[in-house]
Amino acid sequence: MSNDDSNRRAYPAPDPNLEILQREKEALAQQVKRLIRAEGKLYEYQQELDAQLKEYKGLYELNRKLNGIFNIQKIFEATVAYVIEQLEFERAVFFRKTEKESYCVCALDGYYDPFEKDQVSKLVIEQDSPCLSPLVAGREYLICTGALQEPGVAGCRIKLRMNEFFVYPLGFHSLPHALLIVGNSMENAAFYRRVDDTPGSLLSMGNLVGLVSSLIDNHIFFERMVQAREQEKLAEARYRDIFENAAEGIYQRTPDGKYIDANPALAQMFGYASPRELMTEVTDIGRQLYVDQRYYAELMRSLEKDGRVEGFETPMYRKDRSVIWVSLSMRTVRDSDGQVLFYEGMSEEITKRKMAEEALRESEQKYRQLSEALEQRVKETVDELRQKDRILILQGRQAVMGEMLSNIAHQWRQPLNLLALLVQDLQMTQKRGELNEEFIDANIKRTLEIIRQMSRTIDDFRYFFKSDQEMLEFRVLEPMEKALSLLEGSFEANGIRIEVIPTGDPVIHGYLGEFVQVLLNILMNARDALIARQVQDPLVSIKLFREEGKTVVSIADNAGGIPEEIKEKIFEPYFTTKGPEQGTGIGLFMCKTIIEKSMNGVLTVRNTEDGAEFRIELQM
Amino acid sequence: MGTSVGVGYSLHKNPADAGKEAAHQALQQANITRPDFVFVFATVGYNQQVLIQTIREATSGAPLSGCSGEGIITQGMVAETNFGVCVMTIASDELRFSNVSVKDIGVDVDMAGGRLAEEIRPLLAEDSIACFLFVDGLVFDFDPFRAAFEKSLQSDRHLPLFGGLAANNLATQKTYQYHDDQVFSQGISCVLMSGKGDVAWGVNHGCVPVGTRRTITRCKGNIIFEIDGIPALEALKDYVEDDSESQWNKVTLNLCLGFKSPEYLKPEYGEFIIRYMMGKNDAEGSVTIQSDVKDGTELWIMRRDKELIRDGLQAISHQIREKMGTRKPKFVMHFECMGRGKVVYREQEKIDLLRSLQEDIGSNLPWIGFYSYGEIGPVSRHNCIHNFTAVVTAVF
Repeated sequence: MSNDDSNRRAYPAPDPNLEILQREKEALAQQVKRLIRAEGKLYEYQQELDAQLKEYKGLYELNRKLNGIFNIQKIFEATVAYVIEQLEFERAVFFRKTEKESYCVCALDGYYDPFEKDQVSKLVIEQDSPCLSPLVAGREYLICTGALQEPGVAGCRIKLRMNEFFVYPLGFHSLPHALLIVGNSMENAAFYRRVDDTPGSLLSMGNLVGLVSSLIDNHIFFERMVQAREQEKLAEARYRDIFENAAEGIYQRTPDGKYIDANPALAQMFGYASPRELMTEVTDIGRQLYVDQRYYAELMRSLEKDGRVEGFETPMYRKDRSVIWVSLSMRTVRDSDGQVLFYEGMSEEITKRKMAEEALRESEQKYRQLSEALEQRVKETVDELRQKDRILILQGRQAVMGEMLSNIAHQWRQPLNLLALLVQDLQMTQKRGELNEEFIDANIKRTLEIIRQMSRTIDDFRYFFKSDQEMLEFRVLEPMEKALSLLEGSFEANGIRIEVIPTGDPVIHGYLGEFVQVLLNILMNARDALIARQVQDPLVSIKLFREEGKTVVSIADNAGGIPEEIKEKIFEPYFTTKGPEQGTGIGLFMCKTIIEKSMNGVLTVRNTEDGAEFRIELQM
Repeated sequence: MGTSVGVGYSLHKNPADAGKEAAHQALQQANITRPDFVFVFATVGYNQQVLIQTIREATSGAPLSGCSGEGIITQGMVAETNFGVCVMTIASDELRFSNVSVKDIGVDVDMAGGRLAEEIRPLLAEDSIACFLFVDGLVFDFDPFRAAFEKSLQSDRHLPLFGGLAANNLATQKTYQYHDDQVFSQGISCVLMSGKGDVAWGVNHGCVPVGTRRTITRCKGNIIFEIDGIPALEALKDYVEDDSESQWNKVTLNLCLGFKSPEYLKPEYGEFIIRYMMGKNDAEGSVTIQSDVKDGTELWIMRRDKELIRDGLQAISHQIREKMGTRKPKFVMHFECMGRGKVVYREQEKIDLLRSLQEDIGSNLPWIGFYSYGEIGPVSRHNCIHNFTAVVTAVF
């Protein structure tokens, strides 16, 4: 039983005032409880407010600090320090875009182990890294926590030594200028501000990133401005250096013919002591400097028409009225309304060049004349040489002809003796009275036979020495047999054996007479060598065949070959090994000339195992 | 030479930098290079071993004692964060500091009191002034500890105990105590101060009861199961916002329990002793406090009152000044309940209050302290533990 029940029994008629007081007490107790609850809430809000104020104060101070920094690297460093000290994340890493469009660590904080710090400071995020693509596509941030993981981002945990982190892009461009990564390691996360996507966290990071992003943009713009200004200064200095030290005259001039600016080279070119003197004394360029006003008029017309001229050459006066040649390159500079502001350009003195050109022209003329004379001389010399060749060939032919005549004489001696005997026999038979018709007929028959034989010899001789009017196609075997026929007497007399080995019946296209002359020369050389070397069982071996579309004539002997030291010389004119009585030194030179120059063939010689082989190759 | 004391602090996140900075500041302020003793209070975010090692190196390996707190306090500065450290360096030919430690106090608090007394007894001297205790606040029950300690100490003289219960900022499962190179949990770091000097102190809570008297109807040791016949947690429910029930830490900072002070404490301490509810059991509906109670004990639901706290601090400075007279403190140790920090006061209010107190006791004094989970300070020659209280001890 409660106290209230016993009270009711003890006091059946309760005091209304007491009841009122009781109710008021109860109401008051409830109010106190509400106040206690409200007070708890108040303290909570108070803490949140303090935290926010602290953060905003920190952000304000960061803003002030960053605004006083003119080195972007210091901004990165101040930002990561703010993340650690004010936002109370464990770690922060800034990656900055490099010229190769990858991202390298430029500032970091919260890594207190030197090894970890070293490893993280070497990290590089490549342009094709999966964590970049969502940011490039416009994402405001990436987050990686136990519950929230962006594809491709969670893999960075180990490298960054962070278990939970934000990735924020900084700089408002297609590729961010920098990436800010903040977060916590797994083991220490409980002591730091947690990474989550609550509005408070995102607001804190957003405020920071917004502030720093603008500053970074401004600084990068400023850096580029400074770079551009430095380049501009450099270019200006370079221009001024070029302007002052250039070998060419550089200037700006007004449309009415006054110099606005001129470099020392221009003043020197026109014989003035300084640019100032030039600009002061020359007040009408056209009249004072141009020798021929037509050149000046043409120059101004070209400038008016095309806006520029290149390499305009004109004679001009120096201060002392001497004349120089000048090459001008100029352009017209106009204002936005198209009005000519000034002309600027370069001048190069070309007097020496002009003189050199004149000298060259004269030299060329002389050269041309000399060249023409030389050509004529060469032509004459060639003709002379050809004439000599012809004479040599003729001499060669005559030499062969002499040889042939000697052969004919040799061949005719026996038939002539026979004819003499026949005639004597006719006379003696008549004296004996035995002359009759039968004897006479037999005698005449025999005489005619001999004469026919002698006539054939003459015909063969004529065959060889008839002149070549045109190139003919003929069988090689035919002139070879004729040549051998002419020489067979002398070959037989010296015991020289001849073997002819034709393969097929090859033909050639050429001058028949000249070709026979070649054959006779080579055969006679072989014969002479065999005789001179007194070769046992002397042999001349002749082969006729086709090879690779050509007709080949090979004439080989077994006379021991040509000494190596003279092999290269045997085709030279007037070279002979036979002595002045026997050789002219023309034969083989003539053969080479005939085969290679007249008949477009090739004549070569080589030593075989036991002699020399001459090889003639001719087109079929 | 007398006594040279300096205090430094750092809020650096890097434990090596923080320890070095705080120690160097302290040495510089004391104008010494080799201290005789070092007090350190730090918060739990640091790698504690690295922090203490750095301070030891910077202070030439001088004996060191201290613990982790919820925040740190120095002259004109308070910082309730996970990263703060303050260091006091003392060089003195007047005062002697002997430090000892005991571990594993969670196993048997009675035994811990006895073990600590065993360590202290050989160090006690005629001129021993006071003991500073820095105790793990998560496992400590003061009453049995004190009984065992005072009994084992076997001293006729009253040895005042000052100190605070180490905190963990609810960020980790343990608090830390420092003893020379060692960093440990579930232990006591203790410093016996002897020599030519004295202490003046003040203790004040600033809480007021709300509602009517309540009675513990079932309890055991320091666990209260029922109040007025209903589960203890049920009895507190009306004072808590619905959405705060799950956030026990907030609840216990806004509400505390008041017990009638014993008669011998009332003149100095007032009507109520305040107790913080350091734990709860939802299944049993019970709450745990840091001293023992009995069935039938009367209690009141209490709330912090900012005006009373302000007035209480003035009372503390008054008590200290009264005892010191014209003498000036060599240094001041300040143990402030974490429930009286940022959970009640705006940041600037808190600093203003502190400065006001510091100015009252003496300007530019070497001042060091921390926000604790319980405060130890004698009242009427009785060593007591307090909650929601400030204990300020001036050594002069």
